[in-house]
Amino acid sequence: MNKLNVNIGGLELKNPLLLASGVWDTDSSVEIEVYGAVILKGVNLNGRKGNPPPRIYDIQCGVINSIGLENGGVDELNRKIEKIKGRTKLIANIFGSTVEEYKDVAERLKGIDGIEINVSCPNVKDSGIAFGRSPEYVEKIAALVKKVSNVPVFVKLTPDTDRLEDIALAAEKAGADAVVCANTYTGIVIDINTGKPILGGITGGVSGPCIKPLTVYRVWKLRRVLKIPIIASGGIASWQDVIEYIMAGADAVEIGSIIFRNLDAGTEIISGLNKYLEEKNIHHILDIRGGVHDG
Amino acid sequence: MKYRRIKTLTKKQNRGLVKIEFNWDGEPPMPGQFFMLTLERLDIFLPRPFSVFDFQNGVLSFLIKPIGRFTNILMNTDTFNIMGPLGNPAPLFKSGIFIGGGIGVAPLHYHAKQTENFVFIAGSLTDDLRFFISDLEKRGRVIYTTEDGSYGVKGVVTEPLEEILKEEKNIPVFACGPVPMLKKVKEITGGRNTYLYMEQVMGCGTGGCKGCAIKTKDGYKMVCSDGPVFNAMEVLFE
Ligand SMILES: Cc1cc2nc3c(=O)[nH]c(=O)nc-3n(C[C@H](O)[C@H](O)[C@H](O)COP(=O)(O)OP(=O)(O)OC[C@H]3O[C@@H](n4cnc5c(N)ncnc54)[C@H](O)[C@@H]3O)c2cc1C
Ligand SMILES: Cc1cc2nc3c(=O)[nH]c(=O)nc-3n(C[C@H](O)[C@H](O)[C@H](O)COP(=O)(O)O)c2cc1C
Ligand code: FES
Repeated sequence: MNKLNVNIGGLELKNPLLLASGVWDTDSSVEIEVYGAVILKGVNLNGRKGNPPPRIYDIQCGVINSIGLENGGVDELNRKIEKIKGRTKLIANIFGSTVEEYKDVAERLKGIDGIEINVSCPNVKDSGIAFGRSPEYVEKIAALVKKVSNVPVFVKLTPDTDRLEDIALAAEKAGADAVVCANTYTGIVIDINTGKPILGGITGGVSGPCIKPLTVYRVWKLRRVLKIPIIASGGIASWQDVIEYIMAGADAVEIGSIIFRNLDAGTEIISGLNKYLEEKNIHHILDIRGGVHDG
Repeated sequence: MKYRRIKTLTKKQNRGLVKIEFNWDGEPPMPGQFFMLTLERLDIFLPRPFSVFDFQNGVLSFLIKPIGRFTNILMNTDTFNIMGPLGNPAPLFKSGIFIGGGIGVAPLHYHAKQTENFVFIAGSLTDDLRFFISDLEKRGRVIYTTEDGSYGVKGVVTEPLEEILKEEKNIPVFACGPVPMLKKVKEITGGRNTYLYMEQVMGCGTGGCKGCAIKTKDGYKMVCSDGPVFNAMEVLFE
């Protein structure tokens, strides 16, 4: 029997491992079949050219990036979706510089199984994170996208706020089917020879193993106030990390940066999880969920 | 495409440069292509790109200049995770002028070996490159320049290029090296029939993250999936 299948806000997944947005593309050689679902690169209505280089940098046990949501717009994404449809569940990651743009993108998308609302990218100034720090905007955007979509809608939160619970509750109130906790943390790296920022976009988003305890904390905190499912994203490198997130209260997880160094990470994690559940004689992965709430 | 865990066959260090060799029975690389190398330890997180320096009889080699965290521990490391070949093959012609600044000779070495007639200009601060590329001397004309005059012509690598272009017209020029050198090469040739091996910090190496952007006249392009070899006419320097 399947110990890994989960239902996230109406989305049936063969396993709780999702491939995060922005670390792969539809034509890069990732075996997407391995994942319960894969999340496409952030998309807005008419595309974005992205930030000046350099855009990515190794920060020891992690990465900082300022890609700047480079994408070719929703019509191009629809063509890409056409090419990979049917291989696994597909989730679009959408952003906009106005509340209406989120709605327009959601309306135009074709052939997807879910929508992840990105109100949390630290690398663009005119959209994303500014909305994501305001419970009022998050509620407005989530409600609007929910209204025009006939697939489950998730809200991807920024971890860079002291109002995380309020924002997540606003998403829940607006009818979001789950939240994703969380996007990257804003950071900066400085060239010690010139005293100037290394990244072309000046600041960037920090991801990878170095952020894991910060995001586990946020998942744990949100589990105490939310009723809807939580999808965790932050620093997962192994099956042990997945177990940790589920014990903190997650219902599913995303992996991102780790696939830069290990394209098989998904396969390895799934087999590690199966082995763990077998050995511990656990009936289903979510039987261990949230075991440490008051620990 | 996957990372494979492979032990090094040999490692050789000379004049500060390191040559490492692996047995490789995967897809044979073409000139212009590169591999991503990474270690098990997570504290050097992103994989690092290295061009094919040579590939023959199933032995794949890289020539690497130690400059930072990854490249400084090569000599103490025996096993690497490696993935490739990645990127697009360089255009191949019967003749070519190759101009490599410092470690920039690495990809050009493999490329020149698959070119019937070539002039190869190898420039460095000091006398180090010839210990690795002297096998080219029996295949074509090799000119060494050193800035300290310790071997070959004293001066910078772009000087002989101007001389050679006076005699050899309409032969493709391939250049790899630091940005100021590439800029100078483009200036000298006017960008005509000129191809530049470009570098950028990478994340995925497979076109997935949009991390390795460079500026071109058609907007940003990715070194890993659009390059790494670009027509000089399209590359924009700051
Ligand atoms: C397609 C391609 C092919 C390549 N082929 C080759 C090849 O064949 N041979 C080769 O030798 N190289 C090659 N390179 C370059 C090679 O990838 C880099 O040298 C390598 O990634 C450096 O890794 P590192 O960990 O040693 O350096 P890092 O530690 O990542 O550092 C890189 C540089 O930045 C400096 N630096 C780091 N942090 C700071 C800071 N805060 N302030 C100021 N400076 C800082 C370091 O001192 C160093 O000079 C290639 C690159 C590309 C894109
Ligand atoms: C290069 C890169 C690009 C990213 N692009 C996006 C994006 O387009 N939309 C988004 O919501 N998150 C994006 N992210 C964030 C990831 O999806 C993920 O949430 C974050 O990296 C934390 O997970 P990780 O530590 O497993 O990478 C990006 C991350 C990286 C490293
Ligand atoms: S390194 Fe990811 S797109 Fe080139």
